[in-house]
Amino acid sequence: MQTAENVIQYPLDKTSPKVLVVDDSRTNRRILKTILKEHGYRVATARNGHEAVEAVAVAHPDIVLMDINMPLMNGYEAVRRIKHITGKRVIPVMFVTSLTDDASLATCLDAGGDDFVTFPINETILMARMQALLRNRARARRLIEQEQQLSRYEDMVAREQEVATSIFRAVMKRDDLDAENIHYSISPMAVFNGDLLLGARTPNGDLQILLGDFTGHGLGASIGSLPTSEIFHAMAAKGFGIVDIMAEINRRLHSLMPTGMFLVAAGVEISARTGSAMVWAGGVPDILVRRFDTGCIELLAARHLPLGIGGDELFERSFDMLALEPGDRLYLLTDGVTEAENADGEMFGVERLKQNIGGQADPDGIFDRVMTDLETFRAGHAQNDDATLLEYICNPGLEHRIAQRSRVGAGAHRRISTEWHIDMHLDADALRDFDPRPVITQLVMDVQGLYNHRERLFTILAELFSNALDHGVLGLDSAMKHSSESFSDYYRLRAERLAALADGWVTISLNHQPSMDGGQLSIQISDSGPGFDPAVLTQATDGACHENAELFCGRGFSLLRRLCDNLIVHPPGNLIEAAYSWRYDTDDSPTGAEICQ
Amino acid sequence: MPVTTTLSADQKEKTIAIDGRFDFTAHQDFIKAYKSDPKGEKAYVVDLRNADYMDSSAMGMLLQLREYAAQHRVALKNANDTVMEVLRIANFGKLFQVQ
Repeated sequence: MQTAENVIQYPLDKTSPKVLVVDDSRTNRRILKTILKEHGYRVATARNGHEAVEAVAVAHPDIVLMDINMPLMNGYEAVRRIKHITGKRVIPVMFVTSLTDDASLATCLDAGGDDFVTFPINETILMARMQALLRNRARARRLIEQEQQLSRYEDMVAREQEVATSIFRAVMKRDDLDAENIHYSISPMAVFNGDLLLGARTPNGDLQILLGDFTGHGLGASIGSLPTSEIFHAMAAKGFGIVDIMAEINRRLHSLMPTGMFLVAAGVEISARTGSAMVWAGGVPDILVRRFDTGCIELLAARHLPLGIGGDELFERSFDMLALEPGDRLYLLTDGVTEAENADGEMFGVERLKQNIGGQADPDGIFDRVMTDLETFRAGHAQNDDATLLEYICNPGLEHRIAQRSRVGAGAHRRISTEWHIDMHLDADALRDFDPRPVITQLVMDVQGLYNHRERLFTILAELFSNALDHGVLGLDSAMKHSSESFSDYYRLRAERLAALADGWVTISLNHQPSMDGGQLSIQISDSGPGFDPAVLTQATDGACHENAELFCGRGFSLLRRLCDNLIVHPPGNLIEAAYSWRYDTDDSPTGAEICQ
Repeated sequence: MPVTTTLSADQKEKTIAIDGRFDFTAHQDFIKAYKSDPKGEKAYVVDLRNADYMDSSAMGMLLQLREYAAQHRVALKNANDTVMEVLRIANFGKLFQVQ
């Protein structure tokens, strides 16, 4: 309990609470002033309501003691005004009055007063009630301060989100998806859900699409979309294939993101020439294909891990080829579509999506019907508004026209066949840290512009180089790759030997000669190894693989034989020469389906 | 407890059982379940028998466990159809032994 004795110990300094005493009676003012000073308060005085209102502005009291009946302005009106002008400063007003009728006292509180005491003054009661009001005031002001902080913080977050959104918008270019055969829906705030949709045309006119979804939510989850988009657009512009692009994004995200964060993504490359789609999908929901003639739906499941989980050692280059006929429709989606919830917590689901897409109803209305149905389904449940859906309609004629425009825009992608030569010698240090395959492939693109041949040239280089490095320089036994148990041992051993590599080298030579109607590229790879097992070579040359050698043959030489015009292994097996021919009118070259690994 | 652990007789394998929703709410408990072991010393089995749902943050937790186990195996077992579908779509069979 508060007593007069301990209150009196208040030191009279600038931190003591200041009381404004308002009374037209000089005697009353003096009595109150004396009591208050004894209890350690600082005191200011006013003689009527009008003076009180002015004094509040000048003297900044912490509490006001207010008489009711005064000339010029009475206490009720003064309180109204004081409360109005002080607002959030929260200045409590206690009426001190000789009036004792219920109506007058009730009016004290109605007018905005916080409490009242009546004459004759009971000192102890007055002090206790003032203390209580001052405590309430301190609490109220803390609360207001916190509210203000919160609101300032909210403003700041909103401003930062605006800035971030505009940066992300600028980076998430998808102008190339603005075509009449493509429809998509992505939440305007998708960047903070981690959804990602990118589109670009290669110099060749092929359409590349990346649809992805980062784990988690919020800005943290979406930071990764910046490097992803940069890589996607830079590589697409240079003519890299979708698998190369996905590999590079995987590499970058793996090095950037903490363990446990990843990007589920589908990369699709639609050939302007054939209309077929090359799909590399990691961790995304099944891709839907609706056939034009039957209205039937086929599902394509993602074969790979999401991006960013592991480095190159976990990245698989295999892809699916989808043969698309005119009018066939391809649907890419994030799990926000199938997992959209209604008010009862049920999920939209794949079946409902299939019902919307399949069947004979007007196919041109499919996209709108799906979006409308999704909207209806999750009515009032807008917080899981992170569904991204894209529809691509196969239209080779249109693709061809767009591709021609984009080729003209991209300048001469086809170069005159010329004679050139490149040598690259990699010693142990270089072999440890550097992958020459994309660089050499890019060199060939830059010099000769063979974009239609990129995947095949890359595969040839990759096979030749890994043969030279793994078996030649590192001396690994290819038989280890046959069984799934020793498969991981193989890669562990490979990493160990590569890390410990002190000497050894690989030399790569490229020779290009123009021919009558195109050119021939000769690739020679030699290594410091002792050569390789002639038995395997014989099998491969015969084309007759034994069952247990199939993996090796399938991945290695038989693949090379199919891709190259000529393949010569010079004894003792550490110099291999591959010849690859191309023609000017290679627009009818194979689709690349044959190199699915 | 949404997360319970049992140790094999030879102390070399720890089973972490998840009860209920396997999402970010299980994060603290899940990490506690293995962080007391020295890094890279034990194999782990995550028993999903009583896990009725799993989201991408749970997948992130599994990846962290896999990193923690280093060369030792991490197996996922007894997943129900819903959880199995999530694991299938993400192709987690390539990283974990899914039983």
